[in-house]
Amino acid sequence: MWSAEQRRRALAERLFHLSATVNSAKGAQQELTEGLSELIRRLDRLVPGLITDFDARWQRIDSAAMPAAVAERLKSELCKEIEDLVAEVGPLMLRVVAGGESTAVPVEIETCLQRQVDQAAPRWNWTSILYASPEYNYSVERIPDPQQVLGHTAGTIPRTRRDLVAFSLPRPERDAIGLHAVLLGHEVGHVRDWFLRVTETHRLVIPKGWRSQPDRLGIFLDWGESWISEVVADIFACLTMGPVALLALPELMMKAAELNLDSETHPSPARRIELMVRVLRHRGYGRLPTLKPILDSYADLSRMAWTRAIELPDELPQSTTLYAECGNAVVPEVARTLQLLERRCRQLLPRASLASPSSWPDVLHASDLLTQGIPCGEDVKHLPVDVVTILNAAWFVKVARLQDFGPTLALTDPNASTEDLGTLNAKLDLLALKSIEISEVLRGRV
Amino acid sequence: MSAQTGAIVGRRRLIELLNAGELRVLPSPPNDRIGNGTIDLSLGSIFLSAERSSVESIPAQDPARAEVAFREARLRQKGTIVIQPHQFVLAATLEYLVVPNELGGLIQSRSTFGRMGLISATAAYVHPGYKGCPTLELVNAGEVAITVGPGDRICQFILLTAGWVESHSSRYQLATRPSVPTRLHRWAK
Repeated sequence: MWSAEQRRRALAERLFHLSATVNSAKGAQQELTEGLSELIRRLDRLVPGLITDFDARWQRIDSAAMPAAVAERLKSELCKEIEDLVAEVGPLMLRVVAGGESTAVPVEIETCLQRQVDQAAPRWNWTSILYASPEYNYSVERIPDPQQVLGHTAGTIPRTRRDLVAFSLPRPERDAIGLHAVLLGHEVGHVRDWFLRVTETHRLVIPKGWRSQPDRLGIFLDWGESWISEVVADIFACLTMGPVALLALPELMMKAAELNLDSETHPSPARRIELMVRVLRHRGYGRLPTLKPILDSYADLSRMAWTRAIELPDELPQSTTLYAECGNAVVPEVARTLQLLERRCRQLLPRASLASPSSWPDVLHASDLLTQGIPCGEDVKHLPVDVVTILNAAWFVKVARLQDFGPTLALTDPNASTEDLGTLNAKLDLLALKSIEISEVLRGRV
Repeated sequence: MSAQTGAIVGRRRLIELLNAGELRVLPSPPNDRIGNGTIDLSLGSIFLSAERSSVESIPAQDPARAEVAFREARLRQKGTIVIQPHQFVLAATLEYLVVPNELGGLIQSRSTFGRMGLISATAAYVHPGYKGCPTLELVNAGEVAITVGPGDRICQFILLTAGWVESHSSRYQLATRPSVPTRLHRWAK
């Protein structure tokens, strides 16, 4: 029988495991990221407080004179309250804690990511946490602040409190600079979107007659909002990171999807590429002789992508045609608003956050260094080079100058074998990562 | 470079080479890290510590199998690692070296760390034309655990003039983190 006592036992077990996980992470403090250390510090204060509070309230019910049925009901309510709290905080917390050791993530970019998050949402004072996911999955998620969720027992919230935002990344890719470009561009783009409320304030035009059809309307609105938020993140990525936002995207996307395959959450890679080419050209990157052919080739790859009908993976319930219908209503609606969204994002973004084609000579200089096997994180005046320049330079070498980089490793023909090509790209990734580390060390000195 | 082969490069000359970009140490060392013939280098953030494991032994003829005997630790900027007595740890310098063909050198523990028992087991040879972060083979030879972390000035690079000018490719070229012994790659044969 599922009595209050049984619920308390099950809850005690859950809290014990949560507490043990926190303690185990605490024991390896040195191998946690900065963000995860902060989360563990908070949980370490809160979980014991929650247990003590639960016991005190349970005992008050026990010691009060009341009929047994009333005591049972009050105890059940108490259990439910704590169960709900643990259910809200537990799963994501455990996922983050399990994947957040510094060995599993590109810890070198942590301070840089935090700075980008601070710029993206200046007043929100967020702490970013990097954690590794076992899947090929990049995402950003607001974590419910344990102090707010569990904190009803933990007294006042300290003034230094920072809300949490968790970035997940695939562990095997931790050293790949494509990942860093996506994290700092697209995923931080979502943070900018939340802060600047572009998606939140955007109104979709609902197809005629659909207001009275709740099924269609619900799918259309969820789908449309999700696509708008992805499009906005892509626009912010292009505006803040420049060409690397585009150059790094296709090969990361291709691991998960075909070029023209859409999903309920993301437009197809082709649609995203077409949008990004457009944004970069509007910013003037298409006029740069070294970039024009690259942008032109991406434009050819994705031509007319936004006029294509929806193409969905097999696992979606397309047999009902409802999904296809909704998707085909979303495509023109989002396509219609792309220019408007681009204009809004550009207007809302502080000028200092905009990447500019006028900085492209710096990128070319940095790419010269990389092709010689020299990190590009420090400029001639011994000042730190910004991460946007480093990532653009590294991707420019990958896409256009790998032949120049090959001889540094005595590889005259980098395309000779897949193994050589892989080695060369991995070396370049590590050189770019070292460049970021050098830049961060110099920044720390300043 | 007209200096005698094998001569230690003096402080003034070192600063000239660094300013001219002929010798690069990245991130650039502050002036107080440059001595007469030496540049202090610091610890990077990635460590490979030798662990007691189920591996019976590492065959000397197949050094690539050493990988299974090591555990990687990546530290954040303010992190630390404890090196237990007699523990063997591979690390790398934080600084990335770009050495011209006319110079070579040795990496040696700094005496402060040496006196605590932490030594770089072999004086790593940095050959002319080298580019990368040299791997440091650290051993705590003392009886007390020692805590170190990224940025600690643990060793020094002693620069010597070389008597030949010849570019040289190496399997450890462009290393940015410590590495276990590897098989010879085709292009390095």
